[in-house]
Amino acid sequence: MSSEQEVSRMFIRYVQQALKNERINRHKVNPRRIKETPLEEWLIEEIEDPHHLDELKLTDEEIEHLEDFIENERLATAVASLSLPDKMVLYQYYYDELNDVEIGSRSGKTSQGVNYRRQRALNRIRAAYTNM
Amino acid sequence: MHYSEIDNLVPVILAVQEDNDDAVSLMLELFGRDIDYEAKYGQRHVDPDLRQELQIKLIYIAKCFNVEQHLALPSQNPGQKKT
Repeated sequence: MSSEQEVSRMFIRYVQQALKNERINRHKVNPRRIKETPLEEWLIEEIEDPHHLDELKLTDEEIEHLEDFIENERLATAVASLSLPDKMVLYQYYYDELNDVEIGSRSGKTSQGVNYRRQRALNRIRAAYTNM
Repeated sequence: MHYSEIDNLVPVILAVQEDNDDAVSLMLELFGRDIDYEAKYGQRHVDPDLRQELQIKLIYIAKCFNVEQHLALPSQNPGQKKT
């Protein structure tokens, strides 16, 4: 005859094995369970049609007046002081998310030249913004 | 409290089989560490759904465990050998 202590140990071993089996079985049922991430509507549209957002891009004439699209008046005034090539570089870098090499290849400039122009444009904006 | 702190689980098992709520709570507490270990296995956090399923499984096992049948099994303790 087994004692109650022995039966307790049997029960513990039985439970441990059963819990482990339950975990393994659940994993086998859902081996490739992917947690769904809710996507925003614009992102789904972008995946379905990658070029539909091109309509939202500014034309060269609009980039010339880039300050018109900036809500912050002080920043808009600072940006208005820039030349068209400066605005073009900033727009392509921050909105189109192009790097210096890509911007340079489109405009026929070197990446160093683009980088210099971008830094200079930012310094001009900073100076104009702080001196207001 | 962990089951290693209790010498005899039989009264708890029998109480669970009689639907004693306190015994069910105690049983879940005794095996809580094992359940959390399995529910967290291979993941950073405890999976709450799996944890709940394992808790249900534990109580189901306790209710189905035949104490009398196991007590009737021959003892495997070598210290009780008669000369």
